[in-house]
Amino acid sequence: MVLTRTTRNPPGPPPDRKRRGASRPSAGFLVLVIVITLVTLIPIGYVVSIGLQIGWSTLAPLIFRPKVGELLVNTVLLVVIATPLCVVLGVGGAWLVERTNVPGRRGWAILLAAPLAIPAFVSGYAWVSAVSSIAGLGGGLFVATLAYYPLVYLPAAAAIRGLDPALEESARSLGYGSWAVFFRVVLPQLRLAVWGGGLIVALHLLAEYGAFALLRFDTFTTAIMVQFQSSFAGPAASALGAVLATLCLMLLVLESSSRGRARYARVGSGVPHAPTVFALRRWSIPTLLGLGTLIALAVGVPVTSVIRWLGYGDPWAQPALAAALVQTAFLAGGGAVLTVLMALPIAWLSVRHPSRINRAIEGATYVASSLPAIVIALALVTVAIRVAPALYQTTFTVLLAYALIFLPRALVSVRAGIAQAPIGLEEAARALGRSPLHARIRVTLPLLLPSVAAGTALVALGAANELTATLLLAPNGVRTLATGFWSATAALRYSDAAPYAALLILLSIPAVAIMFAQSRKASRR
Amino acid sequence: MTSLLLDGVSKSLGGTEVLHGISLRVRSGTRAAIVGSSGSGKSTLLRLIAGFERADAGTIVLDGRPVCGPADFVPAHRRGIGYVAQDGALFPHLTVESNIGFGLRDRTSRRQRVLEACELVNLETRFLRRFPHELSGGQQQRVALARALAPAPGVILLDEPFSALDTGLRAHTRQSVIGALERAEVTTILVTHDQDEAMRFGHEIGVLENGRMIQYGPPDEVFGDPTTPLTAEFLGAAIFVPVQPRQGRAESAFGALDVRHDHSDGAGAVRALIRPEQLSVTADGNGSPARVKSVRSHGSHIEIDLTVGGKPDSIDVTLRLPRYRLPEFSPGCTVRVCVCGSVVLYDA
Repeated sequence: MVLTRTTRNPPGPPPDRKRRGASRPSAGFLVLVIVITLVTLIPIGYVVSIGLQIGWSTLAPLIFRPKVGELLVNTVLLVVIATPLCVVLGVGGAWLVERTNVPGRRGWAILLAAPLAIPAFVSGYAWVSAVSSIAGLGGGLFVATLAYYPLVYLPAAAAIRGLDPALEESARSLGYGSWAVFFRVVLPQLRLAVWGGGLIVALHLLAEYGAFALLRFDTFTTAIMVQFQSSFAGPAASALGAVLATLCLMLLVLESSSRGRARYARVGSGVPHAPTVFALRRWSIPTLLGLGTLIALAVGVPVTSVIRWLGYGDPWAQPALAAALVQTAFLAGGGAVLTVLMALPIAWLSVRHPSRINRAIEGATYVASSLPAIVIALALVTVAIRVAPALYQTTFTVLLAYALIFLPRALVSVRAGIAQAPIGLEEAARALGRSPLHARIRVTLPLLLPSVAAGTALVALGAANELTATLLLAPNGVRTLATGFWSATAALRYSDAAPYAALLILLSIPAVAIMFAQSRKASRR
Repeated sequence: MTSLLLDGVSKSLGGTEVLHGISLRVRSGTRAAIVGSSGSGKSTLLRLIAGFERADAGTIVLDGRPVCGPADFVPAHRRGIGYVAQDGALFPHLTVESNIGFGLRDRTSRRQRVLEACELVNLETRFLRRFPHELSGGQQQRVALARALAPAPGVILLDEPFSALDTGLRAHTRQSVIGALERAEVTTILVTHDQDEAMRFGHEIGVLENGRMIQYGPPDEVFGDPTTPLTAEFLGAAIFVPVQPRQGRAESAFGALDVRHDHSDGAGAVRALIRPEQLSVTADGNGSPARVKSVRSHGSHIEIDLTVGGKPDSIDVTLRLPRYRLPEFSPGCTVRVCVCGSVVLYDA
C-alpha cells in the first residue's frame, strides 16, 4: 500500500539553456537506467500480455458476467462517493488550519494528518471489532474516507501555504468578501493539489484489500484475492486484474488531462508577506466540535479499540510476535535499500541530464507504480513462474514487489535531494582543486544523504505495513507484522491481533512525521 | 602572477556555435572585463577557461603552459584557476570557515590562510562560524571570493558576481572586490552584461557579440573608438548623424566636425557617432539653431528633446542637463547647439 504520492512529477529545475547538450550521461549509466525502467514496467507488460495471451474469447466471458458487474458497481460507487468526501474534508481542514484563527491551529495541523499513521486495514479491524454491524458499502465508505482524507489534506495545506496572499488581497480590493475570495481565488488555485490528492485517494481505494475484506465489502481487489486463493493466478484472477489495472490507468489519464496547461506558480519575485487570517468568531465552537469529532472517529476510536483488545488476556506473550518483528525489519529494510538503489539512477538522470526522454522515463516509473499492489504481485507471481521459477516465493520477489510499489516515495525524496546539490557546487569544488570524484564525495554526497535517508525510511516504514502483496508473495513460513495481524484477525482472534496492530501504528508514526515535514518544506520555497 | 592567452577558441553547444575564434591576452596581474548581452557566450567563455568544458578548437595557455588545445586538456581541478559563480555557489552544508578552507589541502596552515583570505575581502571573522544561509547577499559574495582567493590561484574568473546584488550594494561590493584583487595581485577575468561595470572594473575590456570578440583593449580606447556602430551603442548612449566628409572634416547639421577615426569605406553615405555628453546647449551663442520640443524635470536633472536643423535632414536628440538650467528652456523656443570634441565615422 502506498501511503502518499503528494508530489508526483515535481517540477525539476528548468534545463539550463547555456549548458544544453554540455553533459551527456555515459552509455553504461543509460543502460542501467533502461534496465531499471524495464523492470518497473513488468506489471504494465503483464496487464498487456493478459489481453494478448489469454485472448479475448477466453477473457470476455470472464469479464462480462454478473459478478464482475456487481464488483464494478461497488468499486465505482466507492471511488465516486469517497473521493469527493475526502476532498471536502481535506481541503476544508487545510483551510481551517492555514487561514483561520481556529484555536490550537498547530496542534490540529498535525492531528489532521495523524490518520495516515493507522493503516486502513487496522482501522477496519478496530471498527469491526468494536461495532460489528459496520459492513458493506456504507461501512467501506466510512472507514476509507476517515483513513484517506489526509492524502488530500497534506497537498492542499502545502498549496494554501504556497499561495501568494497578494492575490487574495487584490480580490478583496475588487470588492469580494471572504467566502467569495475562497471560492473564486483560493479554490481554483488549489486545483492541482485537489486533483492530485483525489487521484491518490482513488488509487488507494482501488488497491485496498484488508479494510474492505474485514468490512465484508466486495471490490475488485478483494475478489482477485478470493480468486487467487481458489484458482491461483489463473485466467479468472488475471481477467479481474486487467479490469482493475484499466480502471487505474483511466484515472491517471483523467487526472493528467484535467491538469491543463495553466500555471499556478507565484508570478514575479519578492518575499510574500503573511496571509490575512479569517476570524471565525462565533463559528469557533462549532468548528472545534467538528474537528474534534473527525479526529475522534479517525484516530480516537481505532486507537481506543486497539488498546481495549490489548487488555484481554496476555497478547504480548505470543511467541510469533518477535519472529514477525525480525522478519518485518529484514524485508522492509531490504526492500527500502533496493528501492532507493533503483530510484537513484532514475532521479539522477532526470535532474542532472534533463531532457524530454529522460523525464518520460521517470514518468513511466510513476505510472507503473500507480497500479494496485495486488496487480503488481500477480504480475510478479506470473513472471516468476513462467520466466524464472527459481525466484517464485523467494525473499527477492518480495523485495522487488516492495520496490515496484514504493518507488515513487523514494523518487520524490531522492530527486529533491539531487536538486539541492546543483552541478554548480561540484564545479566550484573542482575550481578549488578537487577531482570530480572527490568533489562529488565531499559536496554532493553530504547534501544528498538526508533525502536518501528520508526516502529509505519512508519506503521501509511503508513496506513494514504492506499487506496485500506480502500475502501473495511471502515465502512459506515467513510472517510479517501485517500478515501476522491478518491471520489473527481472519481467525477472529482480535486480542491476538492487537499487539500487531499497535506495532503497525507505532511503525507508521515516523513515516507520517517525515511526510508532514516534507510537505511543509516543499511549500516553504 | 600568471598571464592568460586564448587563441582562436571556438565552442559549439547542442549544435549551435556559441563562441567563434576568440583570441585575447590578459597580462599578468591585470583585470579584464568581458561585456556582452545575454546569450553572447560570455559564461561559456569562462567555463572553457575554468576547464569545466573543453573547447572544440583553439588553445588556452596559462603562463606558457597549454591547458587546452588539440593535444592537451588539463581538467579544472589541476588548473589552479579560481572561479566565482553568479550565485556564489557556497556549499550549504559547510560553515563559512569550511567553505573558505575547502580548497586548502595543508591542514597546518589552513586556519591562517582562511584568516588571510577574510582580511583580503574585509570579512569579519565573527562570520566564520555561520552557515551561508545566515549571511546577506553581499556577504555571501565576499565569502565566495575569499574561498576562490584562499588557495592563491594565479587567475580568478568572476561570472557576473554583482548581478544578484541591489544597486547600492553593487557599487560598494565592486570597489571592495577590486581592492581585494589588487591586494592579492591576481590576474582576473570578469564577465558582465553591464557595460558601465565593465569599464569601471577592467584594465581592459572586451566586447562579445554573438560569440565573437568584436573589440578588446583599454576602456578609454574602446569607448573612444568603437569599431562598429553596434559596439558604440552597446557601450553608451549614441547619436548618429548623416555627414559629408570633406578635407578631413565632416559636414553635418551641427556644422563641420573634427574626425578622430574613420571606419567608413569611403564609398556611399557616411554617418558620425556623437555622444550626448559632447553636445553643449546655449540660449544664444555659437552653434547650429535647434528647436526645443519638450522639457521634463527629473529631480536633480532635466531632460530636453531638441530638433536640430531643418527638414528633411533634421535630427532629434534628447539631452540631460543640471536642474539649475531649467529657466533657460521652454517648449517651442530656439537654442544653439554645438559639438565639443571629435567624432568617429561609419558607413550609414
